[in-house]
Amino acid sequence: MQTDDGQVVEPYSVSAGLDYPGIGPQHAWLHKIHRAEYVSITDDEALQAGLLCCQLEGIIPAIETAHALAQLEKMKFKPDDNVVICISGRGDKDLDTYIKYFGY
Amino acid sequence: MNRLNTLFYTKRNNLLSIYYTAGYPEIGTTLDIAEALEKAGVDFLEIGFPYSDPVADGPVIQHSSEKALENGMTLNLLFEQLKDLRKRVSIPIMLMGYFNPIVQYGVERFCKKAAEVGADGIIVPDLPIYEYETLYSGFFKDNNLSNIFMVTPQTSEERIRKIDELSNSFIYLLASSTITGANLQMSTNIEDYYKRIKAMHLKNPTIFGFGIKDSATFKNACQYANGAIVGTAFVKHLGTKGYLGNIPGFVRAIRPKVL
Repeated sequence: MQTDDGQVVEPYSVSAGLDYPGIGPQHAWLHKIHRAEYVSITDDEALQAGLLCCQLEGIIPAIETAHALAQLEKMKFKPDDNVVICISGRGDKDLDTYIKYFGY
Repeated sequence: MNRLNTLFYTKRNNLLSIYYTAGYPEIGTTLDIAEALEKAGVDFLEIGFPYSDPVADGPVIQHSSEKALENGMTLNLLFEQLKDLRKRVSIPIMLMGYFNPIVQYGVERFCKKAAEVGADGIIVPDLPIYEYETLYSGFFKDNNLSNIFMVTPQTSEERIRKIDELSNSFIYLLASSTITGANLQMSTNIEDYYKRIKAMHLKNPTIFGFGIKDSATFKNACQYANGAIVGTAFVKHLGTKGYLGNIPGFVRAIRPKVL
């Protein structure tokens, strides 16, 4: 994320792991060749999905991961689709954020 | 052949170079500072263009970069300011900065513009040798611009030899393996590094930078190399009142008489 002059722009994310202005070469390439699709998720959507995962699965996901979980309800699946989600991290580190957000 | 080659042909000892970030502390004083430094007897200059993430720099130069960006400094503006450079300044000039702004400007376009305003060399700490050699060296050569490579205490002998082959003006020796403005830890390890480089008898002149801040550090560096660069200490000076008028005093404090 940069200005026309090549100065790095300040990024934002509720999760530390995504709060970064750069992208790795693999994702940049996959996006360029249209091999992968990249979508965006809001803070609210991510945190809500994170809570849902706790309630339904008993797994507290990292908020970074919860962004991916939030995408699930936006997609239409067929009964015989194989859906794979990478639970990239645990949410123990994010409890403060979850607690504050949900007012527990 | 450019002004840098001529300089090193005529003078081989106690060369003093000064670095400053264009646009700090004020947006419009780039040429005034350059002119004052030449008048004060400095041998060549490094005009820095600011970057949001100056990874090789300590807090002083980081701050100058931040302020320069706030003041509105860009490569476009800098080249605009440097249009009259050669009407006012005759010593060799290096443009120094990080690679991303150059990439966005266009490397070929940057080299053309740099040559147009009369710059002699470019110092880009984060431009690796491999990329320079395979992708960009043509643009430099076509525009008679010298690319300055950096050597640190960790650089292998093989790499130093390679740098010596690729260099055509001088080699920038980091006085220590740290960021700009750090205190030089004069340990035996550092002295060994200085001696080791000197004993290699490199073809190109060598100039020390990073941590050179006063007459003692300048004098010591000049024992092992052709000269040294003062950056942080001068940028600190620019943060003081009356910085322009006091430039001769600053230069004299580093190099008491023209040796």
